[in-house]
Amino acid sequence: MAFSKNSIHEVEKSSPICRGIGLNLCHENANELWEQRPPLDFLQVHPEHLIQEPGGPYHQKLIDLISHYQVTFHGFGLSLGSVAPLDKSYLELVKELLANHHKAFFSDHLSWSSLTHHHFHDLLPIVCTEESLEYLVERVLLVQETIGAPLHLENISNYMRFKNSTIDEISFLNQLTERTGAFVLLDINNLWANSMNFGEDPAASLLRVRANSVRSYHLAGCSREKHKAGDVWIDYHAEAVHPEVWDLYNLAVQTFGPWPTLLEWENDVPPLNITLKEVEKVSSHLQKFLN
Amino acid sequence: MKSIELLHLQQQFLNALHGGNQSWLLNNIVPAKGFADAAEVLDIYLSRAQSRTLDPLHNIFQSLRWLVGEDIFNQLLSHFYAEAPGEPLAPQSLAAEFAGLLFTLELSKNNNLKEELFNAVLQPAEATFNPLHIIIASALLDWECSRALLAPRRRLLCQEELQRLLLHRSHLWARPRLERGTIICSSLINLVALREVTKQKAPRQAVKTLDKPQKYIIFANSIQNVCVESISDTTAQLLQNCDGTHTIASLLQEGFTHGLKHSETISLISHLVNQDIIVDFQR
Repeated sequence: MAFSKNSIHEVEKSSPICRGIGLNLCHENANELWEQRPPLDFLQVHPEHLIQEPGGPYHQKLIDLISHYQVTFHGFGLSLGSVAPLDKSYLELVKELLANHHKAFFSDHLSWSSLTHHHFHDLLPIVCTEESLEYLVERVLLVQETIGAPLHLENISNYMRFKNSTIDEISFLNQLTERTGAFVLLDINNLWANSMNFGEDPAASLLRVRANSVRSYHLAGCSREKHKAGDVWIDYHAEAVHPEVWDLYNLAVQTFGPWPTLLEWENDVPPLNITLKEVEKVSSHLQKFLN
Repeated sequence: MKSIELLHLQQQFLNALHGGNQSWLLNNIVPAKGFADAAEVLDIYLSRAQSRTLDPLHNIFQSLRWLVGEDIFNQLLSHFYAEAPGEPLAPQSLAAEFAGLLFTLELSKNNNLKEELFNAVLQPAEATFNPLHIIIASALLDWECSRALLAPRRRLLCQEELQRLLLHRSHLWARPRLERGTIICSSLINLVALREVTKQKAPRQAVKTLDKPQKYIIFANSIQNVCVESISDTTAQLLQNCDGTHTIASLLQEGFTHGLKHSETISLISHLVNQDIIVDFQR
């Protein structure tokens, strides 16, 4: 299904969320963003940073920037796929943030990253089976009930799968969003890297994502690493977006629509003017579609 | 409901992370095609989890790193990771657990690590300090600096406004408070000097020790810099009472017992306001 230009109006009507192109806020770019306040449609903020740093210089800049820009909230510690109980106090914080930022949405990853009080600071893949799907449906519904908003679920990059998985990742994501009303935050780079790492066709994978579930995009750079049996694409967010990923983004916009797009650059962060050039590129890609 | 499959996966991963059996994971992982086998990719995930957990401690424990050197510090972190009861999400909580571990280090059965660690602490030839005390003092200094920096700010009024309140006719009933995260402590280690050599990344050298305990204050100033300053016993006593319960009237009385005239105590309070140490007069 192609997303026609006429559908954009429908998109605008159906979604109260912030639009356009945004940039992630991190420790490395906070000073420059705070000083320069470049024009951005939105800024992506991690709620975990408010918990980890309740005061201090980064916290102060974060608070100032939240009041200056439209924001979206992107978690990395929800650990949806964990068997440990959800952190209710964290979800209450997200609820409060969403209540104070009407156009914001909250996203986190389809992964697990902790087991009770053990946090692994990484996004780990889940075993995709009927049983784990049932479990994830319950978890996503509980999250949405607590925060009072649909969750945006991001597809992660992964370098391993499991023999006992009985459902492929995209079917799993499709069924999960269909049964919970959650949306997909489609990370184009992750989808591309996974396809390359497991010898699949990225475009075919993208076209299998349920069309009306996608509501936002992530774009980032990934790094090519040499390993024992060949190259692996690592989702390191430390360089510019690859040309193949731009092509896939164009396909995504044509297929799913021009949803809010975030440019992520979190490691080896260059001066802000470099990342802003990448933001301009997103703009020109979207403009091509609109024209 | 519970997912037995996810529970099993997560228990196996946690077990592998702490040196346990990996066979279930190795039998079930399908690696990306660039990896030779399941062991290669599992090792990457396990190493990444460990390094991402421990990374913030490098930044927090800068004095301790300087004191014992990079290699020994890394060994200490590995020991901590193996012994840690959990890996909390917030680095500050992890840092508290790490500092806590040092207090029990003497009981550790890892004699090699203890020996290397204690030998790494450089002291003047005539010093008779237990190296563990110096290690703990520097770890606490780091932890307290980090805590002072990251504590939510209390200050609502600028220095000028606080000074104006100090001149108000009812100033006697104001209750001074310090910034959140401020610590007043005493040490036989020269904490100011230790902080300074760490900040300057000076070559490792013997730590400056003292003949008698010195009082220190660790606080974040209004431009979000953490300051470590030595203070007199009298000032320390006065500041201990700046907790929002004692009025300036009671501080004047406290100062009197330390031989300070009322005007001298007021002058000291005014000085502490200018130093960003007293940041609020609760009414």
